[in-house]
Amino acid sequence: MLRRTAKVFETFEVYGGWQPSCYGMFIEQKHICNTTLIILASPPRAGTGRVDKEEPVKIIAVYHFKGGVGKTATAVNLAYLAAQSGARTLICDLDPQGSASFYFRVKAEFVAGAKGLLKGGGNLEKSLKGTDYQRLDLLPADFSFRNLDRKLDGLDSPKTRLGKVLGSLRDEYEYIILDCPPNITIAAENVFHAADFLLVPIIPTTLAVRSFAQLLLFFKKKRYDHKKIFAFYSMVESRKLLHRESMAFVESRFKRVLHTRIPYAAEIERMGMHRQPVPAFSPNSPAAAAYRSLWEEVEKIIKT
Amino acid sequence: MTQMTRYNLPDAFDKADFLKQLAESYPLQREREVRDQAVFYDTFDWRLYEKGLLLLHQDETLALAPLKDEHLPLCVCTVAETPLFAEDLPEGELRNRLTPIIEMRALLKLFEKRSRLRTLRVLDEAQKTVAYLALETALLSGAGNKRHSHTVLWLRPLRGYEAQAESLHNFLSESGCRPAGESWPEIAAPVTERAPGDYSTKLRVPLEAQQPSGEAAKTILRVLLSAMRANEEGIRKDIDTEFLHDFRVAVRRTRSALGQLKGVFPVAETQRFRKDFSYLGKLSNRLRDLDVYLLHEKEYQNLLPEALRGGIDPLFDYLRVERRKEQRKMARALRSPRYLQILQDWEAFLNAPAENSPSAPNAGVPTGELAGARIYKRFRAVLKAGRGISGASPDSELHALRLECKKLRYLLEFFSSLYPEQEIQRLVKQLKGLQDNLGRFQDLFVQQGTLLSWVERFSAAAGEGEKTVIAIGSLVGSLEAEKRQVRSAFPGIFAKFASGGNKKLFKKLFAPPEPAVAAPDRKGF
Repeated sequence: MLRRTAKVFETFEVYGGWQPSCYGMFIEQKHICNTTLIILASPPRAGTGRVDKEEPVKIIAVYHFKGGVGKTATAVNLAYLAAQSGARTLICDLDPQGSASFYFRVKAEFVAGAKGLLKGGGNLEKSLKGTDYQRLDLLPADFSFRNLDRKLDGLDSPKTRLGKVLGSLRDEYEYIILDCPPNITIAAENVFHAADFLLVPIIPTTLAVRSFAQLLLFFKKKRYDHKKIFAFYSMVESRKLLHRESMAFVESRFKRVLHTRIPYAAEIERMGMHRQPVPAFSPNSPAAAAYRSLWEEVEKIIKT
Repeated sequence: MTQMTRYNLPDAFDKADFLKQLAESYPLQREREVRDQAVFYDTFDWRLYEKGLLLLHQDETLALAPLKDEHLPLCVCTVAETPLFAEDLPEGELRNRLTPIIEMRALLKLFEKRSRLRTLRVLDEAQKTVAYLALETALLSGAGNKRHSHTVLWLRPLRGYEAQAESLHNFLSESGCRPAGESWPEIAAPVTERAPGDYSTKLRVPLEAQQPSGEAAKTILRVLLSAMRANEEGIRKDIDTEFLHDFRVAVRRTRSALGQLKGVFPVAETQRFRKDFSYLGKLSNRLRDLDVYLLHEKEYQNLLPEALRGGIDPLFDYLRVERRKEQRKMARALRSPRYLQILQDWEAFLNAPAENSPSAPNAGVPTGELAGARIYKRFRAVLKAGRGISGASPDSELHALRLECKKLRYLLEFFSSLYPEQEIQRLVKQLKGLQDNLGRFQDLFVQQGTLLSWVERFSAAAGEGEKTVIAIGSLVGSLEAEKRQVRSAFPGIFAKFASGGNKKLFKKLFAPPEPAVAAPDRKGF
């Protein structure tokens, strides 16, 4: 049942129906052309979620199944700040578009492909690239990562594979930051298992808030540990009444919202031009300050 | 993988020309020049260097790193200043790793390195850094005003860009740069005035089997004299307890050599110096005893039941006061005319050419012959003394065996260079097992006696004194239990030492050839 569901998800773009009173009982799925409705039958219980709680490495996933919310910018800047703080850090570019790799000027090419990634071990270690910044390594994306789901499907324990593979790097890094592709497929479920923390950027607009609720619903349905989820606002334009209202609305219903708001800023858009993290090319900009403050908050949560 | 490689520059290194050629071959980006300062530490006997490690203090951080690359620390801790002892470090990995290596030895400042680093980023077509090259101009300074300048080139490959690093390595090789084999302590030898590894508690005396024994004995004794001299300053300055310990070991070895290498030196000199070294040994007996108690303070505390733990503090306070007095006495003794005279005469004797004396009949005997005969005789003496010991034997017999073992051990160490290293090591290891057992037994015996002798001092005082007396009583009891345990382990350990294999090996290495045994005992050795 579960695998079938996952397959269905792969080919659909997901939107959610949201009822503020309770998170709703179903997810409305919209096909690219036609609308269909799928009701999730009670799924099997999800695993415990973590690779190994005893291990010092912390895996932080920057995730949302909605695209264009600032995931990659967040992952890149946080990874940079984590490494700057003195921690050995790895950023994994899991998005086949390879934007994080691009920001670090590394060719989005993972020699062993999706299959090699899931095999882990030597394949993984051979593919790691040192970035221009001390203590920060990158696992570059590969176009074949678009097939991660198909590859996962053929494996044993398809939902915990990524956690196991990353676990082999636990002695080498203090933080592993995952830049995730915008989907809610079986690959995403691997992320839910592997990550110790899920950072979810929300643009304070109706649709984005709605899709965040869908994510919470999905966690509830699949019995993932929703306490891993920490939301923060991204691309905030505080002049806009809608943004202010949306933020107030979310905060009234969801506790784990970080205080830092990442503004909608030209500096962040210019990352693509500079191909550097914002604090590296514009350390005194408000955007850099916002990411620094976000990292401080995240670090505090991790350490308590 | 991301290990940095240090290159020595060719003699005729032209920086401008080198950079020009480099820039023609690779896209580069220059970084701002960085200044860097670090202080390097090790113990007097190079414990870290011998383990292939560096300890350096930089920007309030103490780092333990591999000898070849100070940039890849194994562990670090934050301290404003490097403490003298491992136990004074903040709790953590660095302390845990350092403690078993340096134990009670003090960390001494070796030298300071002040560097200017000019870093170049080597880029690819996307302007991504693929490797770093850094020219380091280091100014090394030691305790005196000595300075030494040394320039090296570092290549830091970046993970995942191994091919580019390889290409740079080839470029550097073509420019005459060679990967540097020496470590910073070696480079700094001109300013520290110490070659790494120049002092070790292990005795290494290169001898020839055909060399006359008189000459070989003087060589051994000269090494021991230099060990005494090397430790004098540390004793005077009271840096750590092991300077005195090593000094005493050198004195004991000297006495043992004088006593055991019979007929090698003229009788008159032998007797005179035996007396002198016996005096030198006794000088520091009490100081060493106090050192041992204080080194084991924590273990004593742990032997006591919790209620009595505070009770032992007055005893240790008293020992600390006593130690201070004894230390001053010893420091004075090392400056005394008598001490200076003894060492001066001894040195003159050791450096004088061998003279033919009727009272030194063995001076000309080949060293190999003398060594074999002495060692084999001593080995048989150990076997004889050990076999006589049963469960009912008095403690004094174990003490006597311990002394025999010590003599045998010293002989093995003096002459080890004459024999195959592996076999000597095997014998020393076996012997050490036996010595450890006997030594522990003796320690416990002496400690019990000494503890009881201190009771008097505290029994007179009321209140706290009583608690101290009870604590001492409790300790004596705990020591008794361990003593019995040690004694009960003795027969097994001795049997192992006296095993057929060991006997065979001793015979093979040291026993004189058969006809020599039949001949009349040669010149009494």
